[in-house]
Amino acid sequence: MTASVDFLSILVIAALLLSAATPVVLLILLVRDWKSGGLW
Amino acid sequence: MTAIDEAILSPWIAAAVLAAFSVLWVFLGWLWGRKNKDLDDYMLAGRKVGLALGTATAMATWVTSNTTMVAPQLAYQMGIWGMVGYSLGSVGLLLFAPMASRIRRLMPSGYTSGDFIRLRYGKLPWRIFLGISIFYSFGWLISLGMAGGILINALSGIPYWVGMTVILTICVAYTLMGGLRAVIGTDFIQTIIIVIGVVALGYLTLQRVGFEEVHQQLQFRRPELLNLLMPAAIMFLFNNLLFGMGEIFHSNVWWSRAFAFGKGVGFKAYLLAGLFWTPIPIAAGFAALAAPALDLNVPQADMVAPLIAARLMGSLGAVLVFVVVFSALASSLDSLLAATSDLITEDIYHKHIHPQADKPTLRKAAWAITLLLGVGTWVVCLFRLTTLGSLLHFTGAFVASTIGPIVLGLYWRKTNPAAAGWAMLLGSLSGFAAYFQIGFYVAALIGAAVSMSVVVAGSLAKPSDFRWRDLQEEEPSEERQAEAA
Repeated sequence: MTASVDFLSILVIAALLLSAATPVVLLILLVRDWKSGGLW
Repeated sequence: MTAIDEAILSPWIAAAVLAAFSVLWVFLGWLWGRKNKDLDDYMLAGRKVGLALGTATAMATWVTSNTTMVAPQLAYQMGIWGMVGYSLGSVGLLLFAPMASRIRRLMPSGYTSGDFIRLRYGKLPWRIFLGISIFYSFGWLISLGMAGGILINALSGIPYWVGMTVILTICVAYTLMGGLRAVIGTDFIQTIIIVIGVVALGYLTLQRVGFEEVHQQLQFRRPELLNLLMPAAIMFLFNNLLFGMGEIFHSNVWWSRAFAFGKGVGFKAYLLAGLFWTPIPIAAGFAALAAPALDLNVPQADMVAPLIAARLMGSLGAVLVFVVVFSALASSLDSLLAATSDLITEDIYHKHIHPQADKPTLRKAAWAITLLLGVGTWVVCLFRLTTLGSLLHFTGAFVASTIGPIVLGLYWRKTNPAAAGWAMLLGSLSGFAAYFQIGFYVAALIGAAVSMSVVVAGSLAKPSDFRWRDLQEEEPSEERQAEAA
């Protein structure tokens, strides 16, 4: 069973998008925690 | 100039990058360490870590140099399932999310995973567990220290012992100065660096080559990498899954974070960390699949990531990979140092050697133990005794044998303490035998299966009746401590 080009594209694009979103989400959470005094 | 030469950074640039980051991490360790007032601050960052820092530290610790270097190597050797299999390492983080929340609720003043085993199962299973856990932690520390030296040497030509000494010294220095707070704070910055580096490499590969060409060239030159039923890759996938679960469930690296996170943070932090970690090996691995399309000759599979980066970005690519690998190494090494030091301080020094020690004494002990661990790791790493891979696979048999006793001990009142002790012992021994008789890829699988069977059978045959409130250990008051002294 061979992976199609569509399978490879979907897998990699999803991985890249989720990875790219990670720093953004972390920074938003950091600001939210900092504003509420719950950073650490 | 060969492809390998092109991928290697000039030692002077590498030394400048190392120096800049070393100064930054040590300065931050000192800065954040000033907030530490007592033992809980030093060991557990005050037990109030929020969601952002909590998520980043869980993620950064699990992104090791392996994730950034071995995931592309596996994609290059095992294809799509190699990188997908590696990404399933996140299952351990995801499954630990509900456990972290339960651990925090059942043991609000706990310090280590050893505390749980001692209170839940008694002294003998606790000592077996400590043997497994400390062996694993030391194995991981040595493998990270050696990986630091080997990778810095491979990426920049800086001698092995210099790179290894630098990375160990820096991590020990800022962990000593700032305790878990420094570890967690630097982990946040390291996570951002790692993720940006991995995404940049994946994006540039995509822009330069494109899916159609990658797929076409793979089908033509390396069709086995597109095979979704490659037996070796599927076997690797399951073993990796269980190994990852065993590592996370038992290790104090993850338990100490469960204790350190604020109320209600543990579940969300581990869940988010698992979700964010899952795509990293795929994003990092994809670049390696582009090697045939880029017409890249790869003389060493473990150098595929820097080779691709250098081909796509020139010397900037070599800097990028170097910074990402250095961050990935530091983010795991610091966490492991802090958590292993906590385990030895609490479970060996406090509970075995000096039971009357007050908190200031324990803080001094934690400091000295971190330093000794660093020195001990450095000495062993100087000898380069074994390869990174084989040492880690070797510990797989042991850690997987703790999955049953930990999970059942947390959720099932009837789990029998003696059965838990036997499960860890027999699981470790059978996994160990399987490692030598069959191969590294089944050690964790067999260790986990034997251990789970023993603990379930023993507990059904002779059920225990544990009271969850017994996990809430009373701290002796200052007066009682003074009286006893």
